[in-house]
Amino acid sequence: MSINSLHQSCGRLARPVSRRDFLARAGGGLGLLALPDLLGGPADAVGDEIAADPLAPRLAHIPPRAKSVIWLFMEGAPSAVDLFDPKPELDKGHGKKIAIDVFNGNPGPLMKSPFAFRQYGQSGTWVCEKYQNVARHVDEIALVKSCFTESNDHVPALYQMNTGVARAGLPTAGAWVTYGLGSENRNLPGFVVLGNTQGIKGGPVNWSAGFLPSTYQGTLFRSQGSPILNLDRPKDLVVEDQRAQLDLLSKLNGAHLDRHEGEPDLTARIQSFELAYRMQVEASDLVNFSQETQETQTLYGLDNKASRSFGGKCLLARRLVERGVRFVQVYSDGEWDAHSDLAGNHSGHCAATDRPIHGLLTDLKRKGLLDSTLVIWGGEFGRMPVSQGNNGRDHNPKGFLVWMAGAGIKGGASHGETDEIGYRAAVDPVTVHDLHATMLHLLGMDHKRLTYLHNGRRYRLTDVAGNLLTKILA
Amino acid sequence: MKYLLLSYLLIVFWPAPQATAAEPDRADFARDVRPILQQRCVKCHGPEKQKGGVRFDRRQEAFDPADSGKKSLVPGKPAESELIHRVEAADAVDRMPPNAEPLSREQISVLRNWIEQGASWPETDAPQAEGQREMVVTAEDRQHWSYRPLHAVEAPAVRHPGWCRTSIDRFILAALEEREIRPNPPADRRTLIRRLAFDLLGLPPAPDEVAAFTADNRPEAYAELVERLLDSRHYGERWGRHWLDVARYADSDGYESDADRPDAYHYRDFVIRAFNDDLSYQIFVRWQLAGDEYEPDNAQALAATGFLTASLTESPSKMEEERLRLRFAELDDMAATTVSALLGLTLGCARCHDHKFDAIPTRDYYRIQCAFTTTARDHVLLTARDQAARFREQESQWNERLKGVQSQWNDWLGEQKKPHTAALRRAKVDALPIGDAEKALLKDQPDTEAAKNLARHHEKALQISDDDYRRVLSDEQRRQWDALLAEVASVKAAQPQRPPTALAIIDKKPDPEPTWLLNRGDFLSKKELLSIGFLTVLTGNRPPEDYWTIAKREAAPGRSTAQRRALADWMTDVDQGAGALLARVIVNRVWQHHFGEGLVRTVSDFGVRGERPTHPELLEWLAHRFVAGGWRLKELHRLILASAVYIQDSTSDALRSQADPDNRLLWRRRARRLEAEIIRDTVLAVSGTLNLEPFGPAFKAPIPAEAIVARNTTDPYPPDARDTPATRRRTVYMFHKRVVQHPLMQAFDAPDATVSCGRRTCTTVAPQALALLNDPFLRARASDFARRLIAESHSQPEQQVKPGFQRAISRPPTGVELEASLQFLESQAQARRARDPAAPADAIDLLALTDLCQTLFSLNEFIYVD
Repeated sequence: MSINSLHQSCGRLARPVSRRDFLARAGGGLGLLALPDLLGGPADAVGDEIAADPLAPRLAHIPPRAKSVIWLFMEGAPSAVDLFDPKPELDKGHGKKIAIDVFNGNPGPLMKSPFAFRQYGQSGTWVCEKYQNVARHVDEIALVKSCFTESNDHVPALYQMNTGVARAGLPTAGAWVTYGLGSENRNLPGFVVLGNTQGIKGGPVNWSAGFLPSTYQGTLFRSQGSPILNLDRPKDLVVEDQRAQLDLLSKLNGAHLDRHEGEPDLTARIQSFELAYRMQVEASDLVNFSQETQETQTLYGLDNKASRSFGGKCLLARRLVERGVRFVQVYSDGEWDAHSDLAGNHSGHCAATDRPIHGLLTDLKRKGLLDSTLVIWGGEFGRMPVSQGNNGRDHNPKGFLVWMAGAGIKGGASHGETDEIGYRAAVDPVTVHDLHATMLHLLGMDHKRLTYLHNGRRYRLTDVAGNLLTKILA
Repeated sequence: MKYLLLSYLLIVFWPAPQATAAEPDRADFARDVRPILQQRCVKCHGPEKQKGGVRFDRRQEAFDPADSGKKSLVPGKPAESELIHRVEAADAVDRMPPNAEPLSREQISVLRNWIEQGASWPETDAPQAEGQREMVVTAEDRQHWSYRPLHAVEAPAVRHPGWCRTSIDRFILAALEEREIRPNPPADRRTLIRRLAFDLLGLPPAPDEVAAFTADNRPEAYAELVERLLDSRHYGERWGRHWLDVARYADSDGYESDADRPDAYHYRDFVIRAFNDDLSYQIFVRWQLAGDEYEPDNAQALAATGFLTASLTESPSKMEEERLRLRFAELDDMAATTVSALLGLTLGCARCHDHKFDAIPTRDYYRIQCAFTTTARDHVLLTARDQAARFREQESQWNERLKGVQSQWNDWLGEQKKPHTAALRRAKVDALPIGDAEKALLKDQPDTEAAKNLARHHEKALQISDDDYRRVLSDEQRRQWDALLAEVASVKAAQPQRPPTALAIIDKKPDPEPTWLLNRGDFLSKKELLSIGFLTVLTGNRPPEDYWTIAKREAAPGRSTAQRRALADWMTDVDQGAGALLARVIVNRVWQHHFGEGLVRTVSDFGVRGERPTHPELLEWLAHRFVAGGWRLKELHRLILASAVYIQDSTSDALRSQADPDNRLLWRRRARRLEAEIIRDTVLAVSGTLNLEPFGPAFKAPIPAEAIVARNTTDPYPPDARDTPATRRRTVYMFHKRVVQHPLMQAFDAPDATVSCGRRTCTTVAPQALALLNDPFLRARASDFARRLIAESHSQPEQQVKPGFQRAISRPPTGVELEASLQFLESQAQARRARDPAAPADAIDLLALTDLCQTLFSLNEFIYVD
């Protein structure tokens, strides 16, 4: 294997000899044997395809609507009744005590929203005054108003949104998707997480591959400076030094390889160095925003201090899906966790995200990417209809809102309702499994057939549950 | 119930669009009534006790008259039902439940309504929902290969006994001969010492060790090497790490706060010592489940229960529902990890329903949970009970003394100050930079609003310090002052020294807390009170009660319930308990670490869905030998390492590859990649900077700020940890912060300690290569390595390259390799000189050699061991 032939393979790793070889290399063991089954088609053909390369793009079960996902994760949990789902009963009952159990104890009385609402678009969707730019897209957005989860605590709730289950240890949705579909760009990871300034609660479990091969775990990117860890060369090395090291490495490894016929792991490892070398170029190029026009940068709110950070991540997300990255999760900065002063907290977060989200949806659309990109917006749970402390709201997993837009989504649609005060999912309640099932469906995967054999059981992202949210499908 | 009441109250204010709650006046037995009976009555009127001849867990007895002749339930007539009388009784002597909070008004009205409506109690009150029958474990279930008792096996006859060195080889060869596959001859000595050193110690052999072993032609040289390595204290650091994977061990809580566990490391040290001391595996298991109940005076046994505390946890919430959720998650983890780590079964699947594949009824799951219900995490004093008691006694006496001298001092000082306070205050006022009128105000009318405001404004200047008082006191008073303070100081200095504490498990009390069979795993839906039990399918003729009775008798009285000891006794009981499976599972784990794959490849699933062993008779033979030999792991290593199958070389050919592409029959050795920890340790060892200090508190390795990607609210990971000798210890001693994984560990597939991990994945991905190219830690070690080579040579490039290869891959470079390396050094030096003409020659040479050393770290031969 010479360096040249690697360069000619367009970023794809050359194909190891057999399916077994792949299994050994990916460390997938038994699990991957499930893939041919789940992806349909003649088992051997699919097996070979996967054997060639764990991240190779793969055919879906059903015609996909979306190729990529951008999940705008509003960490800390925004309040639905203050953003997209106004409740007149809260205005009427403002100040009234009700019987209710809350996470931090001492529930206050019902609290009306501090924000004014009006209807937008042909769908007449209500949006609060703080989200006026997002509101311009309501006819592309479908609201899922009746979500609920189990835990009242941030971290288990984050884990549940990401894995379907409110505890650590299971593969995340991004890992499942990358496992199922591979990635279209081999110089970048298939599943990218754009973290936030304060660090994400619960850490890497939120983008873990769980028991899937760790090839499918999310890679954390930064939006400024060097996006991936270890992308910058040590200070005492220049690119020519590194090239010389790689050439020597290849020479020394070649002789070893000759003595180890039939060990594809060794070949794969030689190739991984070349891939890493190319990633340094590709990833640095990725974060070079000077390639974007001033107009585009302004569109994402990069000209404004409040929205610059989140705007940069939204722009980066677009650049990632443009390059074929499968799954991008964008975490909001700070936390929507408004235990006090909800008006101040949510105003700030709206200011940070309103123009970037508008920019992202607009830009995806004009670049023709919105048809193939599913955009998801939401937090790990919602907030209480009653006040906490100084005009805040406590955690509420019993009813909250998530929206989706883009590929395969029926714009202006809405699914489900919470009760009159926005406390509990009351009409057509939606579990996290339902959200995941719908996301997989849009990506062309039947959530019941995307399985992985682990400890004697065929696991699914959706466990034994999951219903498609057909009302919001175009 | 709580759920119902809550929605009910909400509906009173807000007519819900869809009334999710049932009509309040129609009582449903299963939903509304049984939970009340189960939670409030069944403890005394149920399967265990039937006080007064009353029983509320079964329909047939519930309507019978009690011993008193009265009827608890008279359908349609609440007024005649003794149950209602007793729960409503105003007099606490008559009221049920006794010595407990009375039933709520809502609960009573549910019962009253239900009786009034006819007290309907469904005939088919099956415990499982939807009329499902509870799983019954059958004789056929017990026939699954891994559930059977151990039996003695004879090694089979083979056609080519010349290849065999031990009985193990006959099992291997017999299977190969059946398929006409020839196994490989022994590997050369250099390969063998490298294989053994990494396998047993996780460290590279030193060049002189390699030279000595290669030169030693005596046949016993190999066995002697094995002994020497098994005796090394680094053996426990290597093999203890394998067990820590299974035990999901980490140094912090995980979740949101992810608080540090500064005294968790005693468990890690216990594990390393247990391996080094070759503690019997039977005892190793018993102590991890119940060390405190077996040997309450043994610090090692106490630390061992850290196994049960190793799961993720979070500080308790203010919300009861969350507290319960967390506690049940912990209990689930303890039970599921215990069974998966020790018995290779997926118990966790039976939490909500009978196991779909294995013969594990949900009832078994909760009966095992009984062993853990009464437990609590604690910081346990690692010392014998009498010494712990003495310490506590001393500590409380000391506290009393301290309190005494402190109050003596405070009282005395107060008394001395009193007569001087007014004068001192006047003096302070006089000294203030304010007018006389204001001074007068402060002195004469201190309680007026104006005076108070003024005083607040000059608060600091008006304060009378101890020094102020001391100045106005007499010499005698000052002498007393000093004497009293000296007394306080001397008591403080005499604080009794606290013995070390370890994060470990205790039982809160000797009486078990109730454990319930839950409906579909819902902790709010209790079905039936249970007592301790085990996996029925692995239990012979000895009933669980029997184990418990004996455990209670043997365990130290008065401290704990002895239920964990009962579980551990059953677990290690080869004749009537799970001992046979316990032995098979550990033998298979050991085999996996020696060969890369277990004889059963699904190392943590020996159930019906797990893979069958490739060599069932061999596994049986090994397990049998292991148990007969006293459960000694080192003896098991010796057996395996002496075999021809272990020492064979890695030669491959197309024909045999085709016949057995997966090498399931073990006709050759396969190169194995070093684990993350061993890569780091090896880089440190090769560069001569490995700090071999064993045991003790974990060190926090430097993690780049941009890799600290999670926020934890307690004990954030230090962003400024430095790369110093103190952080260059073996990785098994590295602090594992759950939400901030070390990037090198993460890149090379180290488990994240969220769940038990019996088999690491081994991936080859670009971030690993990026780390080897650019990670500052690895580059710094390459530089150390280069310095070492320069220091040990005479600046002759050839004298640097050769030992470089020797240290990194235990062999000298070939002619071609030497030439390529020398050429590389030359051209790197040239290029670097061209870029920086002013740099001194030795600096240029060091950098060029560093570039070479870094490349050696990246070699496949460095990271893959044959």
